[in-house]
Order: sequence, then structure tokens, then C-alpha cells
Amino acid sequence: MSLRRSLLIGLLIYGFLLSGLGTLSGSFLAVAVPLALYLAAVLVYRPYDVRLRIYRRLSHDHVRPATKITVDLVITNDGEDLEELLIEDEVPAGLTSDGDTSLLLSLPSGASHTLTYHVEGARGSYRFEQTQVTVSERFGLFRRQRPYPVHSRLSVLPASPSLRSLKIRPARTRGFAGPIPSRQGGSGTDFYGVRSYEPGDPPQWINWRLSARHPREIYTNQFEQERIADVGLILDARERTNVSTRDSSLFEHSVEVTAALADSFLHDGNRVGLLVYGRGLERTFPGYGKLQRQRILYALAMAQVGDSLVFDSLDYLPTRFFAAKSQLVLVSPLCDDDPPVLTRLRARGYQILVISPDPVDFERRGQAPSRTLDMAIRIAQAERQLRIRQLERVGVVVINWQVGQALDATVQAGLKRYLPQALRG
Amino acid sequence: MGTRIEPPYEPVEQGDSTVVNESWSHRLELLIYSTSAVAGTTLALGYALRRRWVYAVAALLLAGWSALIEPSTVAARRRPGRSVTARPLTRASTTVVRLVANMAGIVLAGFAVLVAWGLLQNVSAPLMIVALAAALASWDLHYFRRRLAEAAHVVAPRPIVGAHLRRLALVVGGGSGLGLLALFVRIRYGMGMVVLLSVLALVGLSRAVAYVRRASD
Repeated sequence: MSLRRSLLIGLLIYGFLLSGLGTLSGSFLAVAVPLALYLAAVLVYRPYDVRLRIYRRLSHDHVRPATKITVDLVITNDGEDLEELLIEDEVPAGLTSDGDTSLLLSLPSGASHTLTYHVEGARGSYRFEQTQVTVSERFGLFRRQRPYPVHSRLSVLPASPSLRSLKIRPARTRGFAGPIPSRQGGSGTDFYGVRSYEPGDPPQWINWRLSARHPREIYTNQFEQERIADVGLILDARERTNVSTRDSSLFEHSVEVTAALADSFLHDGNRVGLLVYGRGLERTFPGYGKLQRQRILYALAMAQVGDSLVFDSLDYLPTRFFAAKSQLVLVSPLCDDDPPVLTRLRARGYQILVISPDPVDFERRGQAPSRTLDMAIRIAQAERQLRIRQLERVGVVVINWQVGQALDATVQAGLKRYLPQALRG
Repeated sequence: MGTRIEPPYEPVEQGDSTVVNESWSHRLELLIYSTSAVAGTTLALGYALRRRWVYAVAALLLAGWSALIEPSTVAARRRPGRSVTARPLTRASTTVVRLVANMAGIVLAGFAVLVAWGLLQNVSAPLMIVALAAALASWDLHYFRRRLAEAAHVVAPRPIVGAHLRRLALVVGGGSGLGLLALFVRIRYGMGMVVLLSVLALVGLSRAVAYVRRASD
């Protein structure tokens, strides 16, 4: 716009000058004087030494959903006085801003100003890229606009409902003490078996009742060692399995469950890894502790439903990513061709727990009841039950979770139902 | 994350830091109406003195048009609390906004044409200078007000508006004064000198406009 304005002023002065020369009348030249002075003022006061330092400060770089973040954009003028400075901060798509993200000010040399506004958003990872800066003299005819790269990242982590300790029994555990029975005799709390007394065994471990029946032998009780385990979390992010409505997505519930599971397993001291399977393979390598929890939450913040021809079925699940015979936890609504893949994994010795947010129940919500809908739901539920039964027959533990129900109660009740079978394991 | 930088200058009073301060916006609007009225009536007066009634009416109509486009321009541009990622305008509304935004330029060009025609019709040159200077001020204030409206937030609008008005008054007043002075100063040059000065003026102006266009984004 300023180009057109400068061109207009230039053309008018030209016009009056040429008219004056053409008519040999000084009046035309006299009329052009205010315009010429205007243009001269623009040239004299034009900004020529623009040196700005801009940085953005976020009150937090990771938050839970619906938390307001304060964004401070600090602009410092290291150059000459700037008569008109327009700052426009670009807010990443998906975040809603509260407050002004652009401002106009005069900034003297050496001064600084802070633009403050608030943002909030849904789960996701957001990158603030740049700030648009427009500098001009007072008449706004000479304008310089340029983007300043000011990078910041904000992660809105998924909410994770609290989950009590989960009783899992993988075939193989790790060498360190933990909460999971390891199917090996040794020191522990739960009775495991008896063996012949060996020098060094604590006297209180001697099984006197059994020893009394065998006068030439002394027996010692053995306890089941409790250790930590390798847990591989698999989040199903395939578009075909995740139902979305206008207001919400089943995938969001899956993400929250995965976050809760990671929290629970890591809290128990296990080594936990994450694989987001859908758009591609997004891996978080196994690890322990709070740092790993943070890594997993960051990965979950970025997780998106995706469509890929390659990863359309679970056939390409990279088993090498998970320790042999470890515990796998799949969070998936499940689809028709999943049971054979999970059966193969079970045959390889993995202990598999499937937490399956119910897509039929999710889709039913918000729909007006009708006989046709009832019939459709019954058919879909029957198919789903059949799929779950198929998995249960091969020893896969499946917990069907209707997203309206409390997660912890559903998971604990579901695990309790499988416990005798698992113990037989 | 760095530490907070405190301003080394006297911070602006918070009460004055607001979305285009309404009182200043209205004052600017009044100034635009006033300068348009001055431009229109001066031009009309000049033509009326020469009994060119059609052009006098045209000048008044132009001033009226200038006054009419003013509120619509700002209303079209102002979107309080907008962010850069706000939903873009549709193509039709963009065209309307662009057309309305350029009206001020068309009005200034219209005044300039009437002034040039008036000089050819021997209308009083001092009145023409005053009319064009007032039209220039109106045009400038129109864009200034629009720039203020475009920003969601203006920090200390009072000093910004004050400084702008002072400079505009100086430029327009000084330009009109110099123009009027030029009408009464008679300097005789030879033909060669006239040609030389003309070439210098044209080349200088060309370079100045080219520089502004090149260096400005």
C-alpha cells in the first residue's frame, strides 16, 4: 500500500512539474511544493538502521490441556529511534489467543517493550515460528516489513487419569527388584516352592513341617522373586480404527489411556517404551523414571491419527523394538484383521494386554435412539465380542473400555477377571 | 528463556495504552472531515469566484465523498483482538476493502486534477495551494487512522498521534507557506538555467520515488 501511496505522490509532483514547464506557469510549481515537502520529510525521517532483538518467553513450555500460557514477546531496539513499529506475533494454528497479538508503538533507541498475551489449546505440539515486524516513518510511506524468526515450542501434554498399579505377569523380567513376580525362586514375599536346605539359608526359611516328615533331609521355603519388567506400549493411531465425531475423537481417549499406563508402569519402576503405530512408526525407546515419563508424554502430545498404506494393518509391528517375551500393552479399538497378528505375537512369547476403547459405544453417544440404530449397535457389538473372544482364546488379555466409564475401575476389574488364568500362565 | 528486560525509559501510562483510543480515533475522524471540508470549500470558493459553478459543485461533492468513505474504511479494517492467524477475509470482501482503502488516493488525485484545471482556468493560485495542502493532510490522516485501526493494540496513542499531527502540520503548513511565497517571488532565469533546473528536478524526483519504492517493502 505504501508503494502505491509513494507512487501517487510522485506522479502528482511529476504532473504539476510537467504542467508548469508546459504552460510556463510558476503556479503549478508552487502548488507542487507541499507535496514535494511531504516526500522530502519521508526521505529525511525514513528508518535506515533497524536493529531489533526479539525473544519470546512462555510461562511454561509444557502444560496440560485447557491451561492458559502467558506469552511475553520482548522487543528491544538496538538501532535508531523507530517512529512507528508494528509487531504482529504469529500464533500457531490450533492455539486460541486471549489478548492482543499485535501492537503499534514508537520505540526509542535502547528501549524495550513487552507484548503479553495468553494462549491455550488442545493436546498437541505447537511451534511459534516468527514475528512480523513493520517499521515506518510517521507518514507510513516508507515501510520496511520483515519476519523475525523467534522460535519457541509449546507442548500441551495429554491428560492422564490416575491408574493404580497394574498386575502383569510377563514371561521374562529384568534383573532388578520390582513389583512383578518373576516366576523364579529366591527372596521375596509370596511362597513359590521348597528345595533342599543349603548352608547359608536363613533358619526362619526352613520348612519344619516338611522336614519333620523326612528325617534325613531339611527343606527350605522358596519365595517368588519380584522384579521389574520390560513394558512396550503400542498406541494404535490408524485412521481406520479411530472413530471421530464432530466434537471429539476416540483417539484422544486412547492417548489419555496410554499416558495413564505409562505413568503407572513407570511409577512401579518398570522399563517402558512407546510405539505410536499409524501414520508411521514413532518410537520412544525404553527407559525408566521421570525423564522417560516426560519423553513419553511429549511423544503422546505429538501423536496424530494417520493413514498409511504400509501400516494399515498391524502386520508390520516391529517386534525387535520390544524385548523378547516382555509385556506388550496395545491400546487400540481393534479391527477385524488384528487378532491374527496378536495371536502370532502371543505365540512368540509376548504377554499381551489390550486396552480397547469401545468404538461402537463411542459412536452411539450423541445419536438419537432408534430401532435401526439399536439393531446396528447389536450387530457391531456382536462382531466386536467375537473379535475379543478370539483374542482371549489365545491368552491375550482384553479390557473393553467404554470411554464414559472410570478407567481405573474398568482396568482393575478387567485384570482381576483374568488373574487366575494369568497365574496359570 | 532470558530475564525480563525493563524499559530504560519512562514507561507509558497504562491507562493510555489501549485499543485505538476512542477519543483519539474520533478526533482524527473530525480532523479528516475538517481537512476534507477545507479542501472542498477552498477549491469550490476558487471556482465560484471565477463563476465556474459546475467545478465548484464537483469540488464539494469530492469533499463529501471523502467524508463518506472515512468511517467505512476503518470499519472494514478494524477487527478488535484479531490475531495474525485470524480467518482471512473472503476474496469479495478483500476486493471491497481494497477498493474502499484506495478511495482516499482517488480522492486526492481528484483534488489534484481539479487544482490543475483550476490553475489553467486562472482560478486563484493561493486558494489552490491551500486546497491541495488540505487534501494532502486529509489523505495522510486517513491512512494514519487506518494504521492505528489495523493494530489490535496501540501503545501510548497520545504521543504517537501528537507527534504525527505536529509533523504533518509542519510539512503541510510549511509547504503551503513556501508555495504561497513562491507565488510572489519572481526570479528571472535564462532558458538554459530553466532547462537545467527542470532536468535536475525531474531526475531528483525520479530517483527519490525510485528509492522509496525500492527500499520500502
